[in-house]
Order: sequence, then C-alpha cells, then structure tokens
Amino acid sequence: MLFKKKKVEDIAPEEAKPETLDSSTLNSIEEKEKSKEDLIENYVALINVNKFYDKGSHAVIDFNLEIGEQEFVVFVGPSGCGKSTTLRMIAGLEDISSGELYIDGQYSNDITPQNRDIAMVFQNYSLYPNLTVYDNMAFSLKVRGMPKDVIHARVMDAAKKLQITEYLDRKPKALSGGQRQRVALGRAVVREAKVFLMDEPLSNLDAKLRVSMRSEIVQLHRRIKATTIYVTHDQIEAMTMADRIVVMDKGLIQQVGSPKEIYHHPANKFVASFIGTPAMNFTTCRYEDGTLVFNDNKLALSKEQIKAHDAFYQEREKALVDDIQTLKKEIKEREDKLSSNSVKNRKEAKSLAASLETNKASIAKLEDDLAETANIIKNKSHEVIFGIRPEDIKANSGEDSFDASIVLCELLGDEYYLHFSYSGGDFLAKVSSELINNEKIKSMKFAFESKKIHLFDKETEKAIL
Amino acid sequence: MRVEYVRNSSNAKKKVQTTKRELLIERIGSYIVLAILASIVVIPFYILLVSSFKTKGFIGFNNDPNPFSNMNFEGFKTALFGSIATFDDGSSKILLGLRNTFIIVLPSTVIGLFTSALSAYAAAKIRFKGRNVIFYIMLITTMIPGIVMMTPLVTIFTNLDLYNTYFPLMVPGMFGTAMCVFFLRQTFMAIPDDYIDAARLDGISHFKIFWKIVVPLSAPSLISQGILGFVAGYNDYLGPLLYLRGDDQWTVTLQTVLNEFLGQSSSNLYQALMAATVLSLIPTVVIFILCQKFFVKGIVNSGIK
Repeated sequence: MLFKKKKVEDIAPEEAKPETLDSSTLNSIEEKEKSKEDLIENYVALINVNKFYDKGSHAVIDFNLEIGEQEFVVFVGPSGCGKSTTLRMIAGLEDISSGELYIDGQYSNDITPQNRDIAMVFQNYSLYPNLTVYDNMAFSLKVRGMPKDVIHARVMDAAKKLQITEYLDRKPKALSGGQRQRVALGRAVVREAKVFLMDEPLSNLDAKLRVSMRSEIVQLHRRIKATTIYVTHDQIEAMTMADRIVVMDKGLIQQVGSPKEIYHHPANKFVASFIGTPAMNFTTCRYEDGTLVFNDNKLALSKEQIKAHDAFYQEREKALVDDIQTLKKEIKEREDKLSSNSVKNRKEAKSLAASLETNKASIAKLEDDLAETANIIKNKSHEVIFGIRPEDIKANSGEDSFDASIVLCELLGDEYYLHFSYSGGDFLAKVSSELINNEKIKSMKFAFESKKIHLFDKETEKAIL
Repeated sequence: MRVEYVRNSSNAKKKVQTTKRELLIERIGSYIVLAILASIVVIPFYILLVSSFKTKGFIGFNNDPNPFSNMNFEGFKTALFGSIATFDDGSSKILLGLRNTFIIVLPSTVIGLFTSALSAYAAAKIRFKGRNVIFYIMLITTMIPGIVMMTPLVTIFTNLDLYNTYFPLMVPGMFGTAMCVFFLRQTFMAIPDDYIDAARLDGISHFKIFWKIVVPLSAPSLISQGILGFVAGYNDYLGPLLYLRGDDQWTVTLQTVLNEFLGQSSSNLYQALMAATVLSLIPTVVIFILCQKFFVKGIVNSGIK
C-alpha cells in the first residue's frame, strides 16, 4: 500500500479533548469515534467535508456521506448546488478545505488524483482530439507503464463491452456524440478503477440518445460492478439510475435516500419540488386541530397524520430546548473565561466577546422559535405548506371532491395535464385521457388522495408528513 | 384604395432603388479606399522588384516607364558574386549572411517559443497565488520600447566579452517574449479545463500534459507564433549591426551585408542593393506561403485579431 491507513485518533486534531472530562463527555466522544470508524468502514466516506473559495463563498457545507462498495450513488441538484465540486473533491481535482475523505478505508485528502485509483467521465467527454479512440482508451494505461499486451486486452475488452470496436482507429472528431460518450466511458472502464466518477456525462446528448445511454450506463455498472458516483441536474436520470440519491441545494445535502424514499417521503419542500415531473403542487393553508383549512375547502387528516404532525412539533420543541441548553452552556463557559483573566491577549478577548454576542443573538432566535412551537402545540392552529403530487389528485365526484376551473388542458398521449387554481396556488393534475372527452373542458371535480398529501412547516420548510 | 396601393407601391420601389444606389456608391467608395491603401503597401515592393532587374541606378517611372524593358540579372550577379559581395576566398557574403542569420534566428525562435509556451501554460492552466500579478507585470514589460534597453544591453554584453559573438542576438530571444506568452495564454485558455483534469487523473505531470495534450491541440497557434518570432528575428536590422562586425565568414549576416551595400551605394550599385534585398526577402515569403493556413488558424484560435 502506497499510503498508510490513518488512525482515527490522528485525523481530527481540531477536536482536541477538553482538559477535564466528565462521563457524559467521554461517552459522547466515544460515540463520535465509533460512528467515525463505522463511516470509514464504508468504501467511500466523506466526513464533514467543506469547500471554501477565495472570495469567501462556501460551496459545500458539512458534507457527510458514506458510499458502499458497488453502489451507484447519484448527486442531484440545481446548478451551483455544489454537487460537481464535491465530485471534484473526491477525484482530487479540488482541494478539500476541511473535513476528511476516505476511499477504501484510506485517508485520501492528500493523495494526488492519479494515485486515488479513480476513473472519471467528463461532461464534454474530454477525449484527446489528436489521438485515436484506441490511443485515447490506452493512454492512462500507457502512462502507468503497463505491458502492451495487457493494455491491448483491456482496451479490446472494454471496446467490445461498449460496442465501439469498429471505431478504434478513428479520431474523436469523426464520431457522433453518443459514440464519443461511449469512448469516454471506455476510457474509464479500462482503468478498472476503485471508483467511477461521472460528471453530467449525458448533458451534451439529445433527449433520445440520453435515454438509451442512461440504460447502457446502468447495464455497464451491473456488469463491471464498480462503485459509481454520478452527478446530474436531471432528476429523471437520478430516479432511474441510482441505488441512492443525494439531493443537494446551496452546498448542503437536503436528503439522502433511495429513489422511492426521496419521491414518497421528501425531507423538505425543496426535495419535494425538485424530484418528480411534473413538480409537486404547493399552497399554504391552515392547520386547525386535525383539519386543513383552504380558502373554499376543508380536508380532515387521519389519526396517523395528526399523530405525525404532533410528533413533529414535539420533537422540534425538544431539539430547540437542547440547542438552547447547549448554547447557554457555551455562553457560560465563555463568560467565565472572560472574567477569570485566563484570556491571553486583547485579540482573543475581542473574538470571545464577538462570539458571545453571536451566541446571545442565536439564543434569542431559538427562544422565539421555541415560543412559537409551544404555541403551535398548545393551540393546534397554525399555517402550513400543503403539497400534493399531480398523480395524487384524482378526477372524482365523491364527498371530499371540489370543483376546479380548468385554465389549461395539455394532452400527452395517454394522459392529460390539467392546470387549475386552488386556494391561491397553481395546481396541475395528471388525468387519464380516457376520462376526458372534450379538450376544451372548463371545469372538473377533483379529490386529493388523502394518504398521499404532504405537509411542510412554514418556517423551516421541513416535512411534517 | 387601389390608387393609394399603387402610390404606396411606387414609393416603396423608389426607396428600394435609392437604397441599392447608396449601397453601390458605398461599395465603390470602399474599394477605392482599399485600393489606395493596398497600393501604399504594394508600390514599394513593385519598385524594389523592378529595380532589381534594371541596370542603371534607381528606376523611376519618369525615365523608364516600361517596367519590363532592359531587364537583366546583373544586379543579382553583383549581389551574390561581385567583388563587394564576396570575401577574399570568393565566398558570397549574402549566402554566408543568410546561413549565419538562420543559425542565429532559428534556435532562439524555437527555444523562445518553447519557453513562452511553458509560461503561457502556467499562466493559463496552473492555479497558484499571484499568477495574474506575475502575468500582468510581464505584460507591462511590452510597453518598454526596445531602444531604451539598447545601451544597457550593449554595455552588459561588451563587459561580458560577448561582443562579435552570436550570444547577444540569441540568448535574450530564448527566454521568449511577453507578447508571445500573451497570445499563447489566450489560446491555451480556450482549451477546456476538463482535458487537463482528465490528464491529471490519467496520471501525467503538468509538463507531460503540456507536451502531449496542450501542444498538439494548439499546434496552429504555436506555428503562427513561431513564424512571427522568426520573422521578427530575421527582420532585426539593428541587433546584428550593434553586436557583429560582419567582417568574416562567421560574423557576416544579411543585415551587415545590406548595410555594407547601403554604405557604398553609388548609382550603379543600387541594382545590386535592390537585388540583395529581394534575395533576403525570399525565405520569409516562402515561409509565409507554406504556413499561411496555420498562421490564419493560429491567430483566430488565440481569440485576438
């Protein structure tokens, strides 16, 4: 092994142990160490990874993720959410500002890109235009000084897998977009690397080719069984390809889960709106003791849903109380330090005073939130964000149905997209084309599938249901 | 309604005609201006070429209106093998000068291009602190006129005992030029960073990335910069006159020969001077013709016209 596996106690000098340890602190440290060891056990582990740029922008914030061997993980999110930056940090093309990266149990922050045993496929393929397809695929192996017969065998094997054998003598400019993408994949395949990284590899292809390449990549992954991290802004790619999806926004992980989990149980409003086509419908309404009150309509929640609602706010109250206590403890420690003359110089005193001010401001905000949460628990009346997916709005004339004026009716073959306004929000329902005879339909009766509704807290936009 | 339609239609026709006429005048005007500008460039070459084939002194239009009358190769014979154009052993100063000029200019152009390209690669593709500051300081040096540097350089090279050697003419050029770095940096910046990233993952060093990927990808720009560098060195009239005596087979250059011709010019040597100048033009013209395709592509690639 080129690089020594780093011991857990070596890797976090910033977490210096306090001088005196009570039993609870010791326990929490032990727990932390244990969970860290568990994380490192995974094939790829990112622990508290951050990326800061020179001009003060914080591109990736406290990224924590463990990826199992042979897993296909997709990072998805809008442009600028930090997904490509994270991928480039794993590849070693960007420095990790803080945090730790482990690949196959090895501390990899300081390992150079070529020594990380990683293969990467780029958005614009990055095939060397002056080399033939064969030479492009063989390039990295030649650089590594492999014997010619091994290189030839690997290139031919990969070419066969990707059906590009007949193009091996061509230069990249003589290939179509799809063929170039295959060569780019082939270049990664020949490496037989530990981890495959793919940075929006299908973005430059047309819609039809993208669909076929999507399935080819999945099949290729099943054949070669390489741990793969795939970055895309296309949620359909994420849903169709991933074993696990990591949804990102503004540098933060919003949710990690299987496609099903992410789709059916989004952690917050962002995830709910980002995943799913067409997007989830949202509007604000009031929660009044187990009933959702819209402008012209009411919807009674089931017992389980009410229970989940109450549990959400109780947990929130508990978390807020904990946060306030921790902050108060910190404030006390800092105040003690300031008054005990143990501060070394004026600069340290100034920074301590500044952080005290920040802590006090945070406490004030948390106390406001706590009061509000207590109020919600007590009064059982507050505003929430209501969300429902287009396929969960049914054409129905039953008891809970409501009348909607159709603004626009779009035919998509076997189904219609019906646009209507509901309680101040623009809604869209997917309805089977068999149910609609006239395209110029003016109004229709709908009902929400009550089990499938989503509720989000208005302040934090976190999922209640 | 109908009348109005007709009137409108005739107005429109008139307008179209006016526009057409305006366009024609504009086009003729621009051709005249371009022809004048082109003739300013071409006429000296015409006089040079015609004069090199005429016997008596400068051939003005007045005393010999027919350019093709009395043409002969006397001038070329004198320039190549006349008593003034040969050393005691009979070797031609022009041919030796041509050889020496190539010996001086070629290595400094090739090595200078290489060092410029390396600097340009660093400025375009390697991220390091102060990269832009260094690059801009280098660009500022292009604003210092060469003539300002002349006296200090002559003093330095004389003190180093390098007067009448090729070093003063070769060594400075080998460090590249700021302008060349600037041009090549623009070209290299147009190469997507993904190529560099892919190469880094493939496991090659920056120098290999430069040599195996960036250089082949920017060949036209490198060739065009090479041509510009070669022509600049070849056209440097002052340098050889300052540093070389030109009185033996190894220190004679095209410039010293032409200077010698110019110094001794009497009316009957004009033809030889013109012929020598025509001979000295041949290498650059040939290079331009051969590499014109790369030259245009290279300048376009750099994004600067």
